[in-house]
Amino acid sequence: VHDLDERLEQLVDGFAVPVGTDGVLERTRTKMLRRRRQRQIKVGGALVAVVAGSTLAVAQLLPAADRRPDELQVVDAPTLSKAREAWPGFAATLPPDTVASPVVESAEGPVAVTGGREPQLRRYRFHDNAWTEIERFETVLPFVVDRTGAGRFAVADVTGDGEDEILALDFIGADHVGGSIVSGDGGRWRLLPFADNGTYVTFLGLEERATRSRVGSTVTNRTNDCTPDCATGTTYQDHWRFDRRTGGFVSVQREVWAPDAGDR
Amino acid sequence: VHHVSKSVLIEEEALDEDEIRRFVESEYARVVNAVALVCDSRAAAEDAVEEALARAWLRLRRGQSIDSLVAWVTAVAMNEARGGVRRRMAEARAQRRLAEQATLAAPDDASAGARAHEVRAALRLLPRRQREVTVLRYFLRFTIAEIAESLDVDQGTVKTSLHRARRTLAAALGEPDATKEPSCA
Repeated sequence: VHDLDERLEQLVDGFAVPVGTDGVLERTRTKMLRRRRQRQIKVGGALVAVVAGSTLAVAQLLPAADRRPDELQVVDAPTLSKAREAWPGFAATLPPDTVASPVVESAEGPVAVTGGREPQLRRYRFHDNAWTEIERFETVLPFVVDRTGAGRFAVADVTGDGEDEILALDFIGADHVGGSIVSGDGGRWRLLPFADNGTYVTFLGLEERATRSRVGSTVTNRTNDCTPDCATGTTYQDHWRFDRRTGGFVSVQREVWAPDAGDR
Repeated sequence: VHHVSKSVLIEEEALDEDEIRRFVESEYARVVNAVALVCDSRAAAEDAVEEALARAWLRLRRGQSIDSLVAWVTAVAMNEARGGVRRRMAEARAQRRLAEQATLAAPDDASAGARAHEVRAALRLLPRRQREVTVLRYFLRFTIAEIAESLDVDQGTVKTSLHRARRTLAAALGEPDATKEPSCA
């Protein structure tokens, strides 16, 4: 195997062709600035979203005469840090028992989600220095249940586009916990579908993936068909990956635990 | 309106740009080749890598960390290159650029060219996941753990994919396959 490994390394190496790097940095910078400008335009400000480190953008946006030699004017803007700072205070004004997600950056600026006692998740956007509710997503269960507990949010890039999704985890059902994924992948915010299973599945194994900067995740869920009852039903564990063509998750692997005949 | 020290802004921007510049100088060509091997289009690969790098740059500017820039950019670029429409647009853009630059290099000799063609054809035989694993392992020299991390699969899956890919590649390239059980004499 090692000989073959070495041979394959040589062969695959031999395929490499020289790639010029002239202009790459400039093109990348242009793409980066365009992406940032798109964010600024989407949040509707004429002169907005200047974050720390954006010297170039500041220089482009403000007339030179307005600047002192050693200073740049940074327009009060919906920066991620400002949005994060304002989020807890805003969330405190929402109805009791509301659970708030972390704030994520998106193509339309900082975004966050809340869940409460109603079967829906609410999405908010930070715009003009204020948090505003944008839309609601219907869910199977309420995020917060009386006396039983509440779900929780995590953040991870599970679609692999380099932007974070908001994971609504641990909806508490009668005999399971489940979750949904709120995503702006492709420019439209929605609950991501899991093939023909809808937008809600019982989750496993996602929590530990939510804390690091990574690209793409396998989402794992486990379901019991509760036939004839949940104690002796068949359990299915699916591993899902995001499919860019369909804009939803597809199962890439399914494991099945059929109960022993004696259990029936 | 806030007033922020210009020197602080310039210093922070310089740090981000340095990291991106280092990547372009030392890793860009390698990653473009790797993504091109997977998506079978150098033009789309170049565009996808630049797009991924732009996102990484933006991320760094927001103060978000990236564990391994090479792994991150490679993974995002491979995802980017998957989109059909995007890929066709990228190809059109990049082909125009390449035509202007006329820098598409060909292998030095005919035999190397033929061998490269064979390898490319052999890689095309592999399913997407096996091709990705093969390129990450043999081209980018990622370890099994790094491949698993990049593709977000467990190491067993990587090993299985590599094993199957090796068998297919060995057969297609006429290489001895040490993974085969020895036959009885």
